[in-house]
Amino acid sequence: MIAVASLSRRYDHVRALEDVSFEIASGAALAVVGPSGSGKTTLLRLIAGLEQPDAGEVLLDGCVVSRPGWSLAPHRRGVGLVFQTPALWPHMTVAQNILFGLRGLPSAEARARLEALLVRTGLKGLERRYPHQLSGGQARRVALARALAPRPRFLLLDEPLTNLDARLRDDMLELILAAAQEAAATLLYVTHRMEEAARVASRVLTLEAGRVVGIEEP
Amino acid sequence: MLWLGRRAGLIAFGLVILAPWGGLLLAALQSGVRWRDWLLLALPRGRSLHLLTSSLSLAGAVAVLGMSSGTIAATFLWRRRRLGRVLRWLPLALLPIPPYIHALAWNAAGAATGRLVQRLGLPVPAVDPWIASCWMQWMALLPLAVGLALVGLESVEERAVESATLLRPDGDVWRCIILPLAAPALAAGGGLLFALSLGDYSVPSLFGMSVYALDIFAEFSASGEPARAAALATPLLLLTGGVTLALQGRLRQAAQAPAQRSCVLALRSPLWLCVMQALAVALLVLQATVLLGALFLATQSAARFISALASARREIVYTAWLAALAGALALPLALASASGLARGGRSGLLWWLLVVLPLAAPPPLVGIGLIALYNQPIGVDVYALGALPVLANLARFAPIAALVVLAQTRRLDPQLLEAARLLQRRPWQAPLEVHLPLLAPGLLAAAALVFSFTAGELGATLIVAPPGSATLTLRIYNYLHYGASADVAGLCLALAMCALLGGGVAAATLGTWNRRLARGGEP
Amino acid sequence: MRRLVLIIVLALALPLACSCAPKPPTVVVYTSVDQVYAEPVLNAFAERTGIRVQPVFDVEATKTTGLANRLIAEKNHPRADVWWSGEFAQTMRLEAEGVLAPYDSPAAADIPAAYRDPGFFWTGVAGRARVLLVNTKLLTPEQYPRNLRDLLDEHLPGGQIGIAYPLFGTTATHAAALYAAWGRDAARGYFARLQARGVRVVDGNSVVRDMVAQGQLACGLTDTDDACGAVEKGAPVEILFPDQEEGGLGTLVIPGTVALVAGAPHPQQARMLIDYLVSAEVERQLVASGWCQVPLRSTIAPPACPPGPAPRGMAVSLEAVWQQTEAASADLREVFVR
Repeated sequence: MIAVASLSRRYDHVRALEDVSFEIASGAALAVVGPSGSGKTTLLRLIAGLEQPDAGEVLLDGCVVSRPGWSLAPHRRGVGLVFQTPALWPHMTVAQNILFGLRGLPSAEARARLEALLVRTGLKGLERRYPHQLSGGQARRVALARALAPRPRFLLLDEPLTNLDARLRDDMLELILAAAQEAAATLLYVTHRMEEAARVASRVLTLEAGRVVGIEEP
Repeated sequence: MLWLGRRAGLIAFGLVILAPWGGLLLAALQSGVRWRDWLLLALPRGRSLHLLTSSLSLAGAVAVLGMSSGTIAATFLWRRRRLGRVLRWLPLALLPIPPYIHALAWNAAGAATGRLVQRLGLPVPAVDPWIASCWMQWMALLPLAVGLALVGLESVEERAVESATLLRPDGDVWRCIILPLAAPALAAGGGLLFALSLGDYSVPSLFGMSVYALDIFAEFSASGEPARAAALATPLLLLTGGVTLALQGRLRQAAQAPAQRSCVLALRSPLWLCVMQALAVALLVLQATVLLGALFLATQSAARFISALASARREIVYTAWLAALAGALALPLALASASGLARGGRSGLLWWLLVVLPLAAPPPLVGIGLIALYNQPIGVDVYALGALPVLANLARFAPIAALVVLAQTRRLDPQLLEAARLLQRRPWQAPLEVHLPLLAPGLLAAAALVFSFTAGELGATLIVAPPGSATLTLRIYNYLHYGASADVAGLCLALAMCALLGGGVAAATLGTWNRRLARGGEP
Repeated sequence: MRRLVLIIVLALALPLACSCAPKPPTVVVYTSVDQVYAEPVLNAFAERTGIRVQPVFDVEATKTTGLANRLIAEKNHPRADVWWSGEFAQTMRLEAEGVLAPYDSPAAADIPAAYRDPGFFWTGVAGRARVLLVNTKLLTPEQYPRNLRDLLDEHLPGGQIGIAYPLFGTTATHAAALYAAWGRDAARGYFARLQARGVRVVDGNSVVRDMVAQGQLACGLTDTDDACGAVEKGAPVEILFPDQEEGGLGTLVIPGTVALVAGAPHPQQARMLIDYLVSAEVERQLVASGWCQVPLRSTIAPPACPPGPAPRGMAVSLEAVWQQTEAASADLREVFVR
């Protein structure tokens, strides 16, 4: 379960989020829509622990993980995050990028998970390539595989289909939905396209100027 | 038009860097070619080979120690708001103070500690000249190392760090992501420290350690022939060139990230890194305390400080003008050469060599080369215009500006520039109204570095300074004959304050600019 | 933004614009005399004559590769009018390179002939002498070295003795004088033994002085002006002229030199400045200020520091010393830079 209570965040004098509250049940999905600058990305970053709130709390499975002045380290939250850009590490191969989050697992198990993810995301045969040797679509799939590898309980996606053509977008969306379902992860999906939101989640939260203006079931 | 401007800039950069060497070559050819002598000098053997190896070991140790401690201190300062912001500008203030003054301050501190130890009845250990030289150069270059490491860390893409913090503890993020991604820039910084240590004879000779750079000066002093000194300096040039060749692939990768978000969390360092950070920051603070403490103590009183300033007002004005002019003129050259450095293949490599080689050139040869060039019938009285000191400092430090501007160029989103070029109504609109403002932080940093280095330059400036005009550093060295006197200390403090003031103006402008740029992005 | 750029450009260009204004008569002097001593002398000349003096001062840190090499490099387009040096070896080198022009200054008529170039290419002025500086807390008078050979004596540990690199400055000139007095083999042997004894070779005469004054060294070889600086500051030191015993070698007296640059852009003003610099008045002023401890004119009383009678100089001509500089430099690089 992801719960957000009265969450606020300002940058200098700019209000990014103001008193945002909602809940997503375990295994459920919520899409967040809103125009550019409405605070969608900030919301994801606060839940992932990449920033601290100025007010309010973030709870994951009922435990407070962020409040003003304190936050649980991002890697302890069980969160997978896919950014708008793939943000792959350029000095690592595809396999190394995916294996990065699997340290601590026995190497045979890590290998098996890597193989499964490569097959699942259609990246088999590309594991030795470096990010600059991949196409845009391939890089997105690596970013998704990397986020899924540690089997996160919460999957956060920040406009993961931006800049992909229609066919690639469809493929990628199918992949995301299937992977989230398989992992039984709670899904928070940020987009500014209403039809995409409707395909991903049964509930859609709309943000405007940092405030929640409605939660609907399309 | 843009193409023409860039081409002209590239040619101007090449001319400025190569001018002293051209002058030296012409003078050598005119005074008679003695290839055999020059070749023998250029091939280190016996005594000179031994000197070269010991100098290389010293420079290597200083580069490794300096860059690793500088990097660790920088990991502490990076992303910190209050303390970090203040400490960040400390390196710039200490940069123009000559290494020799750093060494004198440490020497005084060492002597005082020795006396204390003696009073306690304990034996005072004798310090090996190599160790003493290494420590002093390390300390003198530490502020620069911290600054270079900060530039390296800033080049790491923010998203790459954030992706990793979601998956592994911060210690792993440092080790596996941040340091490898910053490695090219850190290696470039290490190379710069190596070159600076290799060229400095003043600190080692204070402790009676002979280095290869001293031998070059001894040769020049004895023979008075620049060609012989240049021949003796050839191994240093070749070594620097070789290192550039080996590293150039990595150097090109330095700083390829887009601009940073302004609001990020500081990483939580693991215990081992915390301990090392504490040690490295303590070392930086200790270095600043010893230096500034020794200078304040030696200055004795505010009245002495003010009288030292008053007596040097002409030098202060000339230094500020010369350093500002060099800083400003370095920018168009750096902008043009950054495009040369970004090229691939052989031409890119040539540009890299052109940028790196001046770092290994003995400074007086740069001055002598320019005078030799002036002696040729070139038709322009650059001497009368007082332009030679500016040219000499550009020949020495424009390459450093080029590297900083290259790093900033790599951080720009090319689409921003492409969009501007498509939409512009006049050919100068995109470069002036979009490109330059976006590059402003890098340009300011480059200008501040050239300003600081020029203010502290000695060897080349002495050779070409116009009669009646001297820099503050020339005056400091002239007064040094009397040891660490109140005047020397007061002038050094004035130099540090000049740099701090320049740095402060740069920081304030940068801060305003960054805020303006940040407002343009999504919050 | 554009306005800011304009302001910066104008501010930077201002000094260039100012340089186009009409100029008063000028003389350019390159000098290796320390700025604190040279500046008052040059200012007094400017005030008296109305001639603007534009000096370029040398610094010790460039290891004598500074102004002398600049003069040689500028030989075809001279910028300097007058060369005023704190010693004589570089001046003789400049003469040999053809950088200087002859000028027989009437103001130098009362300077002994030994300190004037027979061809009038340079004129000697009051100078300094080489001395042994001892720390009175570390050595008793019985232990004081009295001559240079005492520095090889076993009772003084090598690590307690300091000299500057004998490749640069007055220490190099001193080494060349020993080459002239003792012969190449003996002099080279002497320095090799100093090196083998572990004598501390440091960055300059001022460092020798500081280390002796602070007790880091028991004694060292330096110049009178440096040594007197330590005495003035109240350091526990004593100054000794070496080799003053009956039949002894004597110490090296290093006169300053003044010369006219060949092709000087302002020859008339240059001669006026030379006349002033070699005058008895300036000699007296430099002795009083502490730059010179060995006046050349017998009419000028030696200063209070160093105390005692004027030193006996080495019986070698300045020309003979200059002849040895190249050999000494080549040998001593092998001995000390390793």
